Formats: sequence, C-alpha cells, structure tokens
Amino acid sequence: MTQDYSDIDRLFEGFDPQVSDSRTFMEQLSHRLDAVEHVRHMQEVQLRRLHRAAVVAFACGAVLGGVCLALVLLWPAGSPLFTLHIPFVPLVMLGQYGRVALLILLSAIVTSGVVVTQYLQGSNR
Amino acid sequence: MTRERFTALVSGEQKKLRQFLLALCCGHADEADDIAQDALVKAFLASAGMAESERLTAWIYKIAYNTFLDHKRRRTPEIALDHNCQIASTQRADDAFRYQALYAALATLPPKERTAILLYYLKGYSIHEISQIEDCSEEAVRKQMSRGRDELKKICKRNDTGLF
Repeated sequence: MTQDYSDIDRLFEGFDPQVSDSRTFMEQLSHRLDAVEHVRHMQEVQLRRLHRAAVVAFACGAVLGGVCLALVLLWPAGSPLFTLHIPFVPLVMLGQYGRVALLILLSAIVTSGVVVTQYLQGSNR
Repeated sequence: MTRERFTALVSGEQKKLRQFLLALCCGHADEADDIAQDALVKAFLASAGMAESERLTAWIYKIAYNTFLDHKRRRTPEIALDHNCQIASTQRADDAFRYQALYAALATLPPKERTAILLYYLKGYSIHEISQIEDCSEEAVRKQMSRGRDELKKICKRNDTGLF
C-alpha cells in the first residue's frame, strides 16, 4: 500500500454523477413499502386466524378426548364395547380389545388434527 | 425501527447509495435504481427488530452489495465493454459521458474488487469496514484493493492522453 495511487485518487475526485429525481425515487420506494406492509399485515391476520384455529382445535380435542375417555372407562368392564360377529381372528381380537383400539383411534384423530393445523400454519408463514 | 424513522434515514442516504450502485453497475442507471429499491425494501423488512445505530448505513451498503451480487447472478452475461460505453453515452448523455471512462475502467474489475475500490474511494470506508460489508477477511480486502488499484492504474496509463 506504499505505492503512489494519486492518479486513482484523481479518478474519483469530485465523483458526483446525476441520479434520477430523489422525490420520484422515494415515492416509488414508498409504494413498494406500502405493498410490503400490506402483505405483512395480511400474513399477520392469517397467522392470528390459524393460531385461533389451533387453540380451538386443541380445546375441542381435549374436551372430546376427555368425554370419550370417560365413556370408555365408565363402560361396564364385563361387556365389550362392540361385537362384530365375524369369525375372523383379527376382528375377534379387535372386539376383545375394543377399548384400547378406540383409545388409539381417538388419539390418532386428535394428533392428526393438531399436526394438520401445525402444517397449515407453517405453510402460511 | 418505525417506517417513518427508516424513511427519514433512507432519504438522507439514498443519493449516495444510488451513486455507489451506479458506479458498481458501471453507469447503468436503471439497473442501479432497481437494485437500490430492492435493497431498501430488504433493509426495511430486516430493520423491524433493529436498534438505531451508526452502523446502520454500513449495514444498508452490505444489503445493497448482496442485492447487486444477486442481480448479477440472475442477469444475462456481461455486455462487452465497447457496447457498455455506447449504452452509457446514449442513455444519460452529458453525465454518463463525463464518467464514461471511469465506468469503463470499473467494468474491467471483478465485482468484489470494484466494490472494495468504490467503498474505499467513494464512501471512505476503512479496510475493516469493507471486510464486514463484503463478509470476507481484511487480508482479502487488501488484496482486492491492491489488484483493483493496479488494474485501474494500468488503464489510467493506457488512457493518459486525456480520457481521465
């Protein structure tokens, strides 16, 4: 860096090129910022809506899950939940373990609901 | 940062930013303005959680530099130097003609060297600041500066008959 670069200094001396009108430029920028803010606002509204949907889904899941769980547990232990009357081993077993099967099914439905809601929320971000 | 504060800050700095980008785009005013608009929108989006500081201007230049690189990557191959001079002279007659030789000389430099030279000579940034804007080491910036200056010096000598 000890070389003489005075000719390069001269090259940039008084460099002041004309650019387009500043007011027009700022107006264009303002329009773009308006558009950006509009999109951002719409995204926020959508996110809020999805948050609300997630909360409602969670509350519904909790209430429905609780009711179903109570029904399953309160059902008389001796009598099966359902009987399929088909002499096919897997279906007979399903009839025997009806409570467990129903619990698994209900959990799967609630979990799927939550996962789908989360996915929709994520894809809208 | 609020939009009002951002706009106030930008309106004070936009002319210098556009002049820097104009030189970086070798005199292509429309391209420079497009990049400036894109960069400022990006800066606005990222400025939401940012505190106001003196580093903000350098940060805007960093965004502008990255936006310039993105534009360059997306654009069609570089136009030949002679063609470049013609476009500059027909587009913005007097002013472009005045700086035509400088733009033509800058067009011979790779983007990183051009940026380092312009930030140093137009903005007066230090090697350290340029390294932060270009996201590389100070040693790399020193090399870019040295190569850029040598190249410009060669062109200066070649055009010693009064182009500059």
